[in-house]
Amino acid sequence: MVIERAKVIKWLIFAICVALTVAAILFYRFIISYLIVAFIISYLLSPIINYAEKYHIPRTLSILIVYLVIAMLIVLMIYVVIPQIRDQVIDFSNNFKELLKNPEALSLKSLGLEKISNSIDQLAARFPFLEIEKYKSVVSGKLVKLLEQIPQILFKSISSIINIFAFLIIVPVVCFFMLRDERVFLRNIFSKISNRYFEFCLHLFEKIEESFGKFFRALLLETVLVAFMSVIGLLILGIPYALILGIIVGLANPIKYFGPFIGAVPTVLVILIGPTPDIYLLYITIMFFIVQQIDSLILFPWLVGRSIDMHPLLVLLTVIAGGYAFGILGMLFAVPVVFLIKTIVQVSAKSLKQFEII
Amino acid sequence: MKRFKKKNVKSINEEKELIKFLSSVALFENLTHNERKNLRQYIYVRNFKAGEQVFKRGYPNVICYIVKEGELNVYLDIEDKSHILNTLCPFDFFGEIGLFLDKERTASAVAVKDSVLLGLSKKDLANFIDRFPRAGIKILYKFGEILSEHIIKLNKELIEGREG
Repeated sequence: MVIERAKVIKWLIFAICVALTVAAILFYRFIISYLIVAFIISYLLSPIINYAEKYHIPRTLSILIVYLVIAMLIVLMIYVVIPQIRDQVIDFSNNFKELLKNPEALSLKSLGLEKISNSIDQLAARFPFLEIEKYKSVVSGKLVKLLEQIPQILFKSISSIINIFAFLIIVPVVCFFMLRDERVFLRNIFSKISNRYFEFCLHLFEKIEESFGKFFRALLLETVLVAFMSVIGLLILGIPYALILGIIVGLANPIKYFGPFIGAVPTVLVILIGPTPDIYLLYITIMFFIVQQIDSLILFPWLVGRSIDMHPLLVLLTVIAGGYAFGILGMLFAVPVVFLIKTIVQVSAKSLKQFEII
Repeated sequence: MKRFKKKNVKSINEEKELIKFLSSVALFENLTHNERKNLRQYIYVRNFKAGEQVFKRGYPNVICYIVKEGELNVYLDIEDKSHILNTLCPFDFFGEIGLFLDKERTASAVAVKDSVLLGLSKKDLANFIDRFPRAGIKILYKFGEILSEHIIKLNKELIEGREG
């Protein structure tokens, strides 16, 4: 049997290419996450640099100015905000430990859910064979263990200093070059594409940039603004740990539909457990409601312009599926990722036909 | 190291030549040297072999080309016969409709000789105008001038056609 030689060689080269790609990904796997972060940061900063270019400020200079501002913000954070956050975290975990010392404190009663606790007690009294007490102790034991681990996990991830060091050096450097030579990178990538597919790829890239890029940038800005408003609201109300709680609210905000509720959970817990009177639940509900209204009536239309082109039902199901698959982070990133894929598929399906590729 | 240097010199020369070429394109003749340098960042250089299709009628109109080297034919296929509308030489540009309208390509283009084309997309032109408004206005003004001349020429042809 004669095997076509050219075909064999073709497949061999293909296999080698695939193997090399896999090897490269494995080799650079520690760096790839940095590159992704650098890419996202430079993507966010690029409008600022481009805007500065309008006023004849050279790119290098404007990037350095932006870096200086960011460095100043970081220093400010280290001196003002971080100690506060650290104190608050330590305070928080100490409070928790205190709570955990007497297991009664963490029972449902102390969380203000007396009715549920009472009904469970009634249940236990009526059906003694259920041995509810045993379950209760098992559940609370697990909860205690989990809660004890939280501060440890936090500090462990923070204390991997080498990682942070590498991060602090690599990300700004990569960002710098990505921002300065934005067009050169783009041109080089496109110059590798053959003439047949060049216009198609350019068309695809521009369309995706148009719909997804704008959405993504706006979403991040929205997060920052909502966090800012929440922190201020919580400070006005005098809730303890306002800074952390507000930031959590902001971070959870991009999760469609569920975000505001998830973000409010820690605040509600702090009020229930801490010394703050329970009536503050009403106040923060009103405050979060106002923040949400400002967000959805003013910020969202202003920043994103129009709602993303996805049916609300699909958004809802996507968020739930993301939650099942990857937890809170899944909920956060599910909608943007699905939206990105949907945009790519939609645009490429249309333009593949227009360019007579299929 | 030596080889690297050589390559570097070559690419620098190529860049210089390209920027010089831009000054001799009617569209960009009003730009200053710096403005041309900035514009260069937005231009894709494409090499086409003789006989290679640049685009066909009906494709989305994403990018406008300027001929740097070579020769191209713009043609229309009507009932299995191709009618050549125009032959493009260096310094000519085509596909400019796409810079202003969201229309599909109205004709096809094919390279007759090995050609080098400079591509400028609609979005990149918009970005360029946004970032360098002075230079952008110069380009748009020149565009208006060239298109007006084109209309005058077409009008003349129309009148001559009626009379003749």
